Amino acid sequence: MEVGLLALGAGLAIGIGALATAWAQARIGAAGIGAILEKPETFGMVVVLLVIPETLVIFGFTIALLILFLLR
Amino acid sequence: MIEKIAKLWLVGPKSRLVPVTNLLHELGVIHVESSPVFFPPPAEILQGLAPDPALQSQRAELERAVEQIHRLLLIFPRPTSLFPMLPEAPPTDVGEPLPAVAPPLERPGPTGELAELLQTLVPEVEALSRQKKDLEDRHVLFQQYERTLEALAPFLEEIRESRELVYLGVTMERKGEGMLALLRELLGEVTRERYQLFYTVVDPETLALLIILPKEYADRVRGLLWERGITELRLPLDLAELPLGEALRYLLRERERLPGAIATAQAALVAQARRWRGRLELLQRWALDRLEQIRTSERFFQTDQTFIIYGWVPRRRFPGVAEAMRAAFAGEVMVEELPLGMEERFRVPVVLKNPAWIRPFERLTRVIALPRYGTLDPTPFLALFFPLFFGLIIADIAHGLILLAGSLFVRGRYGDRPLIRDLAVVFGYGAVAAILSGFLFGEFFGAEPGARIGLRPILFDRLHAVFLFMGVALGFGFLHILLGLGLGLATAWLHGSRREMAAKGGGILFLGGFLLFLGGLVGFLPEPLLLVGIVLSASSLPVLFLLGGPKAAMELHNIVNVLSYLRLMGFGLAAASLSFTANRLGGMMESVALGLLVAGFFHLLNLVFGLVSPAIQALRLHYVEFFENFFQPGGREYRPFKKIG
Repeated sequence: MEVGLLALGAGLAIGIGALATAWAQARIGAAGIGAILEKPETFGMVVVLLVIPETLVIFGFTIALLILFLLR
Repeated sequence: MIEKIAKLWLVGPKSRLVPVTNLLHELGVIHVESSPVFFPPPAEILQGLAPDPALQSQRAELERAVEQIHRLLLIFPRPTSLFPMLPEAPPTDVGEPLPAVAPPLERPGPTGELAELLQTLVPEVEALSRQKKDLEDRHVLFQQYERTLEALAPFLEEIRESRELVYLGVTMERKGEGMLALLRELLGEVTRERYQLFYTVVDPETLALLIILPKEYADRVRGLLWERGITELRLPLDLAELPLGEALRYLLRERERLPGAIATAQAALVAQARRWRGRLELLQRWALDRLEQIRTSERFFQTDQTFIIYGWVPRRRFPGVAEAMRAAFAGEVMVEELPLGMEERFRVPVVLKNPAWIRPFERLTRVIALPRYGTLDPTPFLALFFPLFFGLIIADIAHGLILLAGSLFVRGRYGDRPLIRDLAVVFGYGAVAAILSGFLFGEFFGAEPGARIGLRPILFDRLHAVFLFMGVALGFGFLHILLGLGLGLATAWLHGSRREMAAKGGGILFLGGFLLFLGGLVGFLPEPLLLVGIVLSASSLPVLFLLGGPKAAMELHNIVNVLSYLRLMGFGLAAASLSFTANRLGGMMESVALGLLVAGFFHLLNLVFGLVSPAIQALRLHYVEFFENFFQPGGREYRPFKKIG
C-alpha cells in the first residue's frame, strides 16, 4: 500500500509538472510562431522563452526520484 | 572576444571624393557611420552630401536591374545531378571580364550592356517561362480528363457532327448492370425510342456509356441521369461548347502534343540558362558592388570645400587604412582616430574575433544577439561548456561515434555552406565530448553492451548512481553560474559600476556560501565548511542589499538557476534508460536478426532525440541561466563598406 502511494506521488509529481510545462509551452509556442513570422530575427528569443517552462517538469522529475529513492 | 574598434574620420577636398570612395571600397574595412551624433564638428554645420541626380538615376536603374537578374536566375532551371555526392556541373561561360567597380563613381561601367541585355533577355525568358507554365497547367488540367478520354475514345467513330443530335457520355458502376436495362426503358419512354446507347467496360467496376438522342430531349434525360446518380462525363470548361466529338479529338491530340511541347520549352530555357547564367551572375555582382558604392556615398558629409566621412574600423586595421590614404593622396586626405566616449559605446559596431576552432560557436551567440561593445563575448565559454553539457547527456561511445561520423560527412558534403558547416563543427565537438563521457560512464550502446566489450564505468553507472549523477549536475550548475557571476563582476569593473560590482560580488558570496553549506550538509565536504558556508551566505546579504541596491536581490535567484542544471541529470538518465530499454527489447526477441533490428530501431530513436534534445537543453542553460549574469545584448552589427563581387 505504502509503495503504491509513493509511486502515485512520484507519478503525480512528474505528471503535473509535465502538464504544466506542456500548457505553458503550447501558449508560448503559438505566440512565438506568430512573432517569428512577423520578425524572423526573434527566433533566438522565442527558443529561449519556449524552453523556460521545461524547468517545471525537470523539478517534477527530481522530486519523483527523491520520492522513489529516498522515501521508499 | 570582441575586437577593439577605432573611431575615425576622413577629411579631404571635395575634388578627391571619388578616388577616396573607390579606395575605401577596395580596402573594405570601414563601417561608414550615417548618424555621427558624437563626432566632430557639431552637426549644425554639417550637411549631407548633395545627391547627384545622375547617380540617383543610376541607382534606380541598377536596383531595377538587380531585381530583374534575380528574377531571371530564379526562372533559369538549375543544373541537376543524379548523384548529389558529385560536384555540380561546371559554371557556364561568363564572357568578357568586367571592368573593376573602382574607379568609376562618375563613369557608368557596363550599365549600358546590362540595360541592353536585360531589355531583350527579360521579355524573352519571361515569355518562355510563361509559355512553359501554361503548357504545364494545361497538361495537368487535361490529365484530370484522362478518365473521360478512356471512357469515350472507343465511341469516337460513332460520334458525328450534328445540329439535331446530342451526345452524352456517362459512367456508371458495373454492378448496376441491371440499371442498364432500366436506363434503356426510361430512355425509350422519354425519347419515344429515339435514342441510341453504346457501352463499354472501362474497368472491372465501371461501364462507360454513350447516349445519342435528339436535342429536345437532352435536358430531361440529363435530369433523369442526375436522379439515378449517374455521372455525366465533364470536359474542360473551354471545350464545353465544342461538339463532343471535336472536343474528344482535341483532347487526344493535346495528350500527344503537350509533353513534347513542355520538353521543348524547358530545353529552350535550359539553353538560355546555359548561355546567360554565368554572365548574369557576374553582372549582378558588379551591379551590387556599384549600388553599395552609391548607397554608401549617401552617408558622406560635406562642408563648403571638404568632404567628411565618419566611420569605424577594427583598431588593428587602422594603421593600414591611414597608410593607404597617405600613399594614395600624399597628405591631401586626413585620417584621424577620435577618442571614444563611454556614452557612445552602444553605437560602436561589434566584430567578434575568436580562434578558428571557436568561431563556429559564434553562430550560437548570434541566435540571441550580438554582445554590446565593451562587454564580454560569451562565445569562448559556449565553445567550452556546450560540448561538455551535450556530451554529459548523450555519454555513449557508440552514439558519439555515429554523431561524429555524421557531422564529418555533413561538413565535407556542405563545406561550401557556412551555416551548415559551422553547425556540423559544433555537433562534431559535442560528439567528441559524448565519446569521452561514454568512456567515463562505460557506455557503448548502453551500459550492458559496454560491459560485454570490457568497458567499466570510470566515474559511475548513470542508471544506478542517480544521486551521484544529480550531484555532478548540480556541481556543473554551481561552477557555471559562479563563472557567469565572475564575468558579470568583470564587466561591472570594466564599466566602473560599483553598484553592479557589489551585486555580482554579493551574488558570488551568497552562492559560494550556499555551495559550501550544501556540500557540508550531504557530507561531500568537511563538516566545518557547512558553518563557513552559512556565514558567507549570511554576510553576502548586507553587501547585496546595502551596496547593490534593490535590484541586487535578483542575484538570490541564482539558487533556482543552479537547480535548473538538474536537467543534465534528467535528460542523461532518459538517454541511458532508452539505451537500456532498446537492449532489453532486442534481447527479448527470438532471433538474433530481429533482436538487432528492434534494438537498432530504438537506438536510432535515441540518437534522433540525442541530436535535438541535448542541444536545446545545453543551449538553454547558456541562454537563460548563464548569460543572465553578464551578457549584455544589443551590439550593432559591423558592416564594412566592401566589395561583394
